[in-house]
Parts: sequence; C-alpha cells; structure tokens
Amino acid sequence: MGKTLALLLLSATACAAPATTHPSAAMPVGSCHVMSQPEELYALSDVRPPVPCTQPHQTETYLVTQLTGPMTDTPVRPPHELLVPMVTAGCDYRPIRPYLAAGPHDAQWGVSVWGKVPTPDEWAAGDRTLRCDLLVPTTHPNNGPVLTAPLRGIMNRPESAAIRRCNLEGRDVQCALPHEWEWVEPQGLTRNGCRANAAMFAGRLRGLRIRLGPDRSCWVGQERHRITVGTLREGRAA
Amino acid sequence: MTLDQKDPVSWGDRFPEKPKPKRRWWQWSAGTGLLRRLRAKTSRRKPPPGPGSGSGPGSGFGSGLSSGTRDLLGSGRDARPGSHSEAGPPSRTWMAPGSRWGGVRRFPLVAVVVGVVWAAVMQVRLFLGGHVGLAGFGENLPCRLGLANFRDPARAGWEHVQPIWTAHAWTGENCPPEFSTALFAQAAGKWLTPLLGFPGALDLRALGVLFGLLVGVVCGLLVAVTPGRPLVRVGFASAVGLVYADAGFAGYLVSPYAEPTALVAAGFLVVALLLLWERPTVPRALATAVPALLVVGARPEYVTFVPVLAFALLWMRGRRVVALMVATWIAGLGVFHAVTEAKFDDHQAVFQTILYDDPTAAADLASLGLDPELAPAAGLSRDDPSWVTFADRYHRTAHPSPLRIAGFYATHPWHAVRTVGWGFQGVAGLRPHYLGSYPEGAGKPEGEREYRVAVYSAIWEVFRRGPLLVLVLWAATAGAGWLVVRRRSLTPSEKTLGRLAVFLPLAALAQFAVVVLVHGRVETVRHLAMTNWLTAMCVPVMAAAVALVLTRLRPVPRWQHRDQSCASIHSQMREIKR
Repeated sequence: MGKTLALLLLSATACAAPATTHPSAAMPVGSCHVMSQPEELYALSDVRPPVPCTQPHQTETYLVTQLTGPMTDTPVRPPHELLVPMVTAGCDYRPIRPYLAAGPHDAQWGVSVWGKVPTPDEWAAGDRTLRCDLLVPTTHPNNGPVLTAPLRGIMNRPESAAIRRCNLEGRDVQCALPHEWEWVEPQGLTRNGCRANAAMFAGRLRGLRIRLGPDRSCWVGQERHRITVGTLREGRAA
Repeated sequence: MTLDQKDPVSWGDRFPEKPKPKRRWWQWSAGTGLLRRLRAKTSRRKPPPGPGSGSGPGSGFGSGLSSGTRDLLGSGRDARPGSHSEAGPPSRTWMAPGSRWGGVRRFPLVAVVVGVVWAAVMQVRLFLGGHVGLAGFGENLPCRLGLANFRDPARAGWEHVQPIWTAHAWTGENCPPEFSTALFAQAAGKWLTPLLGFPGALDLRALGVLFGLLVGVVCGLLVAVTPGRPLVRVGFASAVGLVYADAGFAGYLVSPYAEPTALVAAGFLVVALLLLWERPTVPRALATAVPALLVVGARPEYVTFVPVLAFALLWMRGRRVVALMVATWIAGLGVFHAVTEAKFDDHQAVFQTILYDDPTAAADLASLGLDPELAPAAGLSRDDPSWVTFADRYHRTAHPSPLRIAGFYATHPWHAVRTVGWGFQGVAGLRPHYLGSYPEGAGKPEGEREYRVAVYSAIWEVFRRGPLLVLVLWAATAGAGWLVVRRRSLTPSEKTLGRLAVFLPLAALAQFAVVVLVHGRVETVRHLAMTNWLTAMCVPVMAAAVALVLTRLRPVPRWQHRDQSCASIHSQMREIKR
C-alpha cells in the first residue's frame, strides 16, 4: 500500500523533469557551476553538471581536495555545523591568487570561497571529495551574482573589473560599476610609492591622479574621466 | 395542541419537505408497497380526519385504537416525514426519524448565495488594496514542481511575501524528495497562473484565488449540511468563513506552505463528516476519505488526525465496514507519510526545549540516554557559535526517539508542564510574529503584519492573557458536544454538530501534543497552525452546541422520540380520556 501511495504521489506531483546529475568527485578544477538560487549556494553538496565558463554561472572550482579530520571516518555525513569547520580548513586560500593570475599590484575583492561536499549517498559510498569554489560579488543589487567568463587568469583580462575594488564617493564598489578611484596593491606606501605603483599598475596609461587613504591605501584615478567603468590595469579602462 | 408545538425553537430540518417514495422491487414482493397503496385508496374513500390526529373527534374508541394501531404498524417502515396530511401538523418527535433517514432540508439557494458571498469576501480580503499573504521563510516545497522562488537574493525571505515562482531545474539535495498533498494544490495554482494573467510559472496569488473560492464552497456546503433554520445556518457558515478570513489564517492562503491545503481540506472534512454522521452511506463514507487524505498527507505532523478520524468514522450507526476501510486508507497514508517524511530533530526537542533554562541538565541528558557532558550546550541552537564545540560530541552520541522523549515527559511531569505551557503560549500566539504579510514594494516595513479581518485575532487576546483558557475552550466544546450527542430530544442531524464539537477538540489536542513533543518551543506558533484552526473552529461549533443544549432543556421521555407515531398515541390518549 505504501508503494502504491508513493507512486500516486509521485505521478501526481512530480511534474518537473528530473535534472541530470554529475558526481561530486568528477568536478575538475576550472569547472563552472550554476547556482542561481540561494538554496543551491547554501546546500552542502552540488551535483548539477558543470557548464562552460562562457555561459552565465555563479561559481568556479579553484581547488579539489579531500576532506580530512576525525569526522571523515563516520559512514553518515556529519551535519552542517561540523562540516563547515572542515570545509574552512580544507579550502586553502593560497591557491586563489595564482589561480586568478593576480600580480603584486592586483587585489581581488569580494571573491568568497564556498565548499561543496559529497551528497549523503556519495559519502556513504566512501567519497570524501571537497570542492572549493569561488563566488564573485553581484553587480546588480536586485539580482544574484552572474559571471560569463572564466576566473582562471582573469586578472590579465578586462573582466577582472568584476573582482577589483573601486570607490565612488566614499563607497566601495566593484570596478565593473561606475567609480572614481581604483585600489592598487600594496598598502602602507608613501605618496611617491603610491604614484610609482600606480604607474606600474596602469602601464602606458597617462594622466593619472592618485589618492592616499587614511590607512595609507593607494588609489588611482584618471584626470580626464573622473567617473569610469572597468579597470585601469594595463590601461584597460573603458 | 400537542406537547411538541410548545417547543419555542423549530430548526429547519425538523420540517423536511416530503420526499418521493422509493419504489423498489422488494417492496412489491413483500407486499408493503401494495398494502400502502391499498391503505391510501381506503383513506381516500373515508371522510377526511379531524385536525391533529389520524382519528377525528367523532370516532369511537374502537376506531381510534385501530387507527392508532395502524399508524404504529406503519411507523416502522412506511411512516415518512412530511406526510402531514395523515398525521396532522408537524411535530418534533414525529419528525425525528424523518430527518434521520432523509428529507433533511438543504436550502440550496441560500447555500449558493452564502458560498458566492464568502468566495467574494475572501477575494476582497486577500486582494483589495494590494495582495497580502505570508512570507515563505525557508519554505521550498514548490521546488518539487520544478519551481524556484523569484526574490532578491539579499533577502532572507521573512521580510515580505514573494509570490512569484519561476521554472527551475533542481538537482541533488537542493530540493529534497519531500511529498505533500499540498503539491496537488500548488500544481493547480501552476495551471491557473497563466490563465489569471499572473507572471512566472506559479504565482501564489493564483493559489489565493483558488483557496478563496474553495472557502466559499466550504461555507456554502456548511449551509446545506448544518442543521437549523436558514439564518442559523448562514450564521454558522459565516462564522467558519470568518475563521479563514481572519488575519491569523488568511495569510497562509497566499503562501508556499503546506498549511493552506490542509486548512481548506479540513473545512471540506468538516462538511463531509457532518454529512456522514447525518446519514451514513457508502458514497458519503468514501467522500470523507478525499479531504481526510488531503489533510493527513499535507504534513507529517498531521498523522495525529488518523486516530481521531478513525474514531469519527466509526462513531456512527451502520456502514462501519466501509468506515473501517476508509479509516484504514487514511491510516495507511498517514503512517506512510509520517515514516517517510518526518525528520525528527531531537536537538530542538532536547537542547532547545527540555534543557532550556534547566538546572538539572546533566541528569536530564542522562535520563534521555545522551552524554551528560553536553550539559553546557543546554539551550543552544545549532546556529549559535558556541554550539560548534559540542557538535562533534553530539554527532557521535545516540539520539533519542520521539517515543523516548514522550517517556521522559511521563516520568518528569515538571518538564511536561513547562513544555505544555510553551505549547499553549504558541496557540495563543495564533500566527508567527516574524513573517511579513505584505509584498515588497507595498510601502510596508519588513515583517509588517496585516489585520484586515481580525475577529478571531481579537478573541485570541483572551488566550494571550490566559493561554490555559485554550484548554477550557476545548473542554467546554467537547462537553457541549457530548451533551448534544446524548440529548435524546435532538434529531440525528442536530447531533452531527455535537459529534463535530467532540471531534474538533480531540483533533486539536492530538495535533497539539505531537507538535509540542516534536518541535518543542522552536517555531511553535507556525507548527501549531492546524491546532489554531481547530481551536478557532471550536468557537462557532461550541456556540451552536450550547444553543442546541439550551433550547432543548426540557427532557423528553424516551418513548416519545423512539416511536415514530407519537401523534397517534396522543390521539389514543385523548380518546381514552374521553
């Protein structure tokens, strides 16, 4: 009777076509993932097949590793509150800058790390793969983050404006949005040091102005176009 | 004047219209139909009888007795309600068997008018001046239909009603395999959304339109099945309509929760039970199964309806085999649903309820079979940063079942009293205080609640001041219902309200007990939505039951209503006196 009821409920309500799944362990570094719903982002696992990074997506895998720790020996997947410290410890931040091809004057901004673990079934089957994804901030306050370019090596491309820190009227924004100043690494320089770094940062671009923040942070802008969109890195401003 | 004519109250179904005689082959073969026809021919030949009885004043002793004997003989099978020409003016005791076996007046025109009016009231209440509803915080049930809520991702969800759901392909555990009969309603809403011109794949406003219409149907049907004069019926149905329209429940009708389906189905269940108790037939028993299954399958907690429904179904004369079958179906679905869907979180029941502000936390943990070392975690939620230090130990410890927790409460009455107290506070809360009623862009602050219709919300002020009064209401309703059922002077149709008055508090109590046991003091108000609805229904049902009891205070001898031809007996007594 139970099976009949289950079938009845299934047939009556399962109107949605079942989406195909992809094993957690088979998500390589550099794969891009659609997580348009907050529930998908907050879920512990993700088995949706990856999409090409040129298609709209939300996260990109920069590291695939194995979960370690005392809880990995349990046949039942530990709960959320136990997995979060394991994911935090497992998703090393050090590979992020090389993955983004960030140079000494580049600073990524707003990029967050989201870990994905195997599903309960995969866990029970012995899979302990930890997938570490990068999530970029949204450029639209009413929409979630969307990226249509790969993050691998992005600092060498104009799309890096999506993850660079800029400032407009005292408010931090992404450089992909209208802004006045752009942040230049490193921090704690003198005015001359900031000017030299800004020149190296902007490459051939001339007509730069600099501003030294109260925390000795270095900001660069353009003399002619006070409000710009995009990054000044290597003169790529729009 | 007969004794019955002194009765100041005459309820509508006591004077049923004359039903058409049933023509069955066995009647002819048994000779009864033929006999009745012969009698009718004989009576037509005789001079017309005097008013008030089958034998006129001029009849002799012998003729009167024979007339009365004929009536007595005919009462068992042939006496039909409404045949006033033979028995004089309608009398209470004479009419009772008639309303038992059919001929109950339905007032279809009044029912239709009331249904249409309440359907319109619900639409106006939900949509006039901008729609209202209930913010679907954390609820993702429509994902089973391939839908995702379209909202500002920066918002948590509790702030505003977000009615639009768009098509979305979910994978893995992002949309857990959750089954609920509410998906039927949401699938209907999905179908209605483009027809009504709403955006998205499912607009919860379409569900609001649908549920509002169904509330109208419930009110109309209640007019048809409730005993009493038309005005009484309209009053009762409107009181039930007000329950749905009240701010405590109306918001659910425009929300992604499973509750609205269960609440509206429970209204149909009330109608079906009244019909079934009025006259137990196979179609009526089967018709009861539909809303009952919808209610029981909506949420795992509603498995508590199974024993109460079984009691309600078997609490009638005849058709018990069919009732047992229907009860088995409901029990099957309820148990299946509870076993497959229930996700018992002992953390809520233990750490956030039993151990909350508990000076004997370590000993209580030991009683529950948990590690006493977890005592410092008493009262902590999973989201609390301090919980992380206990999470590992908690994960590795054995977890108590609901049965074990029930046993703990049985052996620790003080804990039971505390938890029940929180439960009654949850009932008194009526609706969650943290879920907004207005859509984004309506110019209302986040989490603002609406009070367009607040009749029951106003009554609930009494419960907020004294939560234990909820228990008094349940007891009073059940007591009044029991008196109605036991009152011999009432017709079976009237007694259906008594049965309902017993059923509702029982269902509320069972639902309350499970919610308090499983959820403790975590989100108690929202989990008690069905308990609150059943409690609100107690108000009009208790009023009707009390009215029935009070208007029939004068006891009636058993022989008067058990015998169908009392009028003839009266006439015989008059003859004897002469």
